[in-house]
Amino acid sequence: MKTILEVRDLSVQFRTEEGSFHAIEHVSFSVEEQKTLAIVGESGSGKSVTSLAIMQLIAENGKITDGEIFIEGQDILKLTRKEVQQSILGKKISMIFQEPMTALNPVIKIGDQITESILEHQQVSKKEARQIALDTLKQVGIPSPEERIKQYPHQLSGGMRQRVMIAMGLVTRPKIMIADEPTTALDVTIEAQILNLLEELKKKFKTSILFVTHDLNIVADIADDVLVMYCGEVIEKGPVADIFESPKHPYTKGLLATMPSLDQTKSVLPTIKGSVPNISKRPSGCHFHPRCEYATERCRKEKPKTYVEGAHHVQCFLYAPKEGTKHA
Amino acid sequence: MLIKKNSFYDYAYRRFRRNKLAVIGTFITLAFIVVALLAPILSPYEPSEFFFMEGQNLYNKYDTPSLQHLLGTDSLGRDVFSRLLYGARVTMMVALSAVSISTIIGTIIGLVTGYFGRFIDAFFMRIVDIVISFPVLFLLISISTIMDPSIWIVILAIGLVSWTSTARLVRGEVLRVKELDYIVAANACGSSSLKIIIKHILPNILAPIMVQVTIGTAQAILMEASLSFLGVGVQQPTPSWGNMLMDAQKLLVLRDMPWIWIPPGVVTLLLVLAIYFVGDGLRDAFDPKQ
Repeated sequence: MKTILEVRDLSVQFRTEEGSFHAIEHVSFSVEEQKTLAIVGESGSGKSVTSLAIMQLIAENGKITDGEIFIEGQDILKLTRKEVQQSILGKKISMIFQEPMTALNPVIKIGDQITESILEHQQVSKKEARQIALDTLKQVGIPSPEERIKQYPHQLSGGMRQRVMIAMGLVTRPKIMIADEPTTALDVTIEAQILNLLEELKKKFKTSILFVTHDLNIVADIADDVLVMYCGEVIEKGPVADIFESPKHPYTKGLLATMPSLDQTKSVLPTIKGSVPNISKRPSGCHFHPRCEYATERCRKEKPKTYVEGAHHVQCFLYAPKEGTKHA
Repeated sequence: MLIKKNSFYDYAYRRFRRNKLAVIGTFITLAFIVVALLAPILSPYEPSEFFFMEGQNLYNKYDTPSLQHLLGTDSLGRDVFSRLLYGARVTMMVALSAVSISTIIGTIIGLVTGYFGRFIDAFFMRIVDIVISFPVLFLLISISTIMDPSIWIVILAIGLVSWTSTARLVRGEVLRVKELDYIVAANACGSSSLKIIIKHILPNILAPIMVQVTIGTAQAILMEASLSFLGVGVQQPTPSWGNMLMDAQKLLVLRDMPWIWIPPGVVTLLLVLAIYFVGDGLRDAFDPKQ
């Protein structure tokens, strides 16, 4: 299996008026060819920062302080801004945004927005680019693309716009698409359609997907692997079946317990007590200890290492091997 | 139709049409433009033609309005009405050229500072501060004493001191727009900065720039009028509404010969007011909250 995207030890720091803080720390993961990796976490867990860091779209006060990002074996952090623009962004990797209502430029016609990326990265004529755009629009399920191509974003519904966004992301046949909560702004029936579409396109174009979400139902639906983030750290990762059937980290367990199910008889949904701490007030040791029912003195003082069991990684002392055994 | 159905500008056009003052302002402004363009056909005499008393070798100065001279003659015996019509040309030419200069400079500097920020922003904004605190009048008076005063110097001077408000406005708009998702999305497509600025940001901030252009035109007319009134603007014998008002500096004219200074004063007021109405109308029409 070929690795398309590999992130090693990625740390991103933000300067604020209260000082500098790490939004994400030592994040490592990889995405294989034609696989979907889902990053889950609450607001403020660093999942969006991770995806923006890969796209090199971090706000002005943020900086990648450490780590490497490999796309097909090439460390893109070693490239110049121009090289990244020319050969990576929009070509090998593209992004689908959360808000289809605001992620399309209101004054540019749909067709021109889609062809922009093609003309930027491929040596084709305007006419050929238009044809590619039409084909892609058809593939993402937009009826009568010849008409739509001449329209402005506000003339399309939310679901249609998200399809256009997907078409924009797909038009250059990237190796991997980053989808940052692409269905959060849509209603559930449209959400299902969009998720099916992504699945279908992934197979058709052999694209990998990095899916950022807080919705565990979606994760169960579409992901091959799952990465759970909390306070800017990866606390657990592994194949989707492992995570859902035998979650290890207390936080992951808590998250899964909060998922409502149809056969549930309880009237009150379980919750994880407390809330995500502010970036400037992250607890010592394991960031999750104030909310964790298994927390010990060690958790308050020391940061747990990552313990590996097969493909399942977890950052929690509960899974620390007995003294003397090897850990990763 | 010129405006696309259901586009942002289509809605704005409909809102604008409902605004009575703005529509009246538009018509008055258009009327002035037509008059300015047709000045050679409409005016009975050449603007710098001197008239003599009948049968005498004396200039026909300060003549009262009559059928021969609709608005009388001025202090040098020239037809006030003809000068008023030709003055419209000069005044508008000066104002529009100056606004073109200030809009181009202001928009470019605003786009660059707003988009790139940091050092470039700090540097250009200090230049803006310096230009704003310049005593414009003294600057112009010194320029016109050093150089041969010409209409081009007036245009250049007004343009070079009035770009600052455009620059600030554009900078603010860029700061707002560049954080929007579609600009981030354009970045994610690997578009270059120049392309993002020209293709994605500029079209989205055209509306406030258009408002600024109208308001700026009105201000340029006023500035030209005050400069010419003080004698450092448009020079005789070229007529402009400002230098026609110069005659009113004489107490005798101000007190006893209103036909010389009321017409240029009134047309200046009327045109500036009309343009302001258009500007306000545009601002309301472009306001997405409406």
